[in-house]
Amino acid sequence: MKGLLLKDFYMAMKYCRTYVIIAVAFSLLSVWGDTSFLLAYPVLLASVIPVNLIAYDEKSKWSSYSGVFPYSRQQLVSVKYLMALISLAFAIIFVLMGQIARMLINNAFDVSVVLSLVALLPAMGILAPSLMLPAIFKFGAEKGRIVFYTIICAVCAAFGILGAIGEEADLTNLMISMQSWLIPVITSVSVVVLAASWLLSIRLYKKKEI
Amino acid sequence: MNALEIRDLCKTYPGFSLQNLTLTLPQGCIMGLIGENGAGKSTTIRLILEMAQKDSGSIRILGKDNTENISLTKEDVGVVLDEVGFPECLTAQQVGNIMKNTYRNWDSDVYRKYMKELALPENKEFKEFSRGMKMKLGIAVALSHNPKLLILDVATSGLDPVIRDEVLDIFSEFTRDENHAVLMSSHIVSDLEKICDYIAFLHKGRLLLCEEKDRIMEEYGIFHCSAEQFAELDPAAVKGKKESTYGVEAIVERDKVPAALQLSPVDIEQLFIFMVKEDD
Repeated sequence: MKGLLLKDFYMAMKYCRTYVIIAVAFSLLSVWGDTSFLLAYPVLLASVIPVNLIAYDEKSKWSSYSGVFPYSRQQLVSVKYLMALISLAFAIIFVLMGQIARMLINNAFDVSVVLSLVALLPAMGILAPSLMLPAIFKFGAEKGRIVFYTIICAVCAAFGILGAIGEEADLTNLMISMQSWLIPVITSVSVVVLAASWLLSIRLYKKKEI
Repeated sequence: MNALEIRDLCKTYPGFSLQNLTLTLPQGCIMGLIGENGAGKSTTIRLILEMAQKDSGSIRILGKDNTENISLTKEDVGVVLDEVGFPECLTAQQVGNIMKNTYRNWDSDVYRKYMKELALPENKEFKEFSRGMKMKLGIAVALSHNPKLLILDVATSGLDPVIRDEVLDIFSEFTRDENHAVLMSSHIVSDLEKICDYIAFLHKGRLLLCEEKDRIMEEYGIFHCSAEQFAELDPAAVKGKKESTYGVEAIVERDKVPAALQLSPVDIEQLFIFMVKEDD
């Protein structure tokens, strides 16, 4: 497993530098800007990293060649989930740093907003890979991407509908108004979704011929 | 203990079927798997490694059923497939670091030794490697974790004759240890003829022959004759034939023809081609 993680780390360093630059840029912008897009975009980008790594694995034939090494199917699947969580953690740290800086500059530091972000951003970031990865492990990266674009469209549509019915779709305000009991519920649901997705991916990948 | 035991292995894909494959590779030996494209060589190797699931039959690697904790068994197996699929951005040095964290018995000194011996650059990205260099890196990795069994699927293709000869020497040297064994498929029959103890012929998913190489040489011969002389032979003695306006070339079992017949020695490639044509 350590070997697989190191391999993905090398690949991420090579192929995903742009994502890091974008995440840093958006975090900096969010210090002065005040839009939910600046918070959501780095997190959504981070969730694409494991999918891109799988696409590169397929291109280089690693997806098949990995079968000659002493890795179990479970490990081959788990490492992508681990990469999703690591990428997400970095993206959230950047976003949080930007938000905390913004609040400090405006003398409006609110710990409840930080806690809400800590609860909501991982849940939002986990959703995309949780839905995409089983499809990708089953059908491959190209077809699996269709699922991703469907999710992006659904998220955009949700924001659009909220806007259309006059609701304030700004995430920050939404988080401030979040009830304290809602935070553990969202966190728990996202953990359950992630665990279910991981188990499903392992099940699907075990049956797949590589 | 046998390094590899395959019993009644079956696998069906649309348009192809591997049928009741049975073969045994004893330790200390090299077995060459010969077959045309699509004969089932790679399918067999993928089934051995559990990269594909068999329909029926059994496979034992180094005494262990391959459905039981195959990852652990793979610690003792070095594999080179026809396409070495390391990620394109990795260098040989990074591959070494990854493998160090993959195999329990990874030996960095041995890896460095093979890198040097096979003239592999440490810091060049894999995408810049030629096919031959990719194969050499695959071979270096397969040999650097103290494996007991090597499984090589067309591993010498793409190598120039000098390096191929060196690599064959490495494989030969590997089986000097009587606990080691090699299963090697190749289209280059002369390579297999050079180093193999056992030869197996696969054709359209069926095993046509699996025997000790020396026995094959002793057992079969080529009979150059006229059509009339050929007609007098016991049909059971004939393994394959080629007819032309000049006469008939037939591969026969020496035991089943009169001892007085003048037979030329047969080589593996001829035997394979004759048997395949006879089968078709």
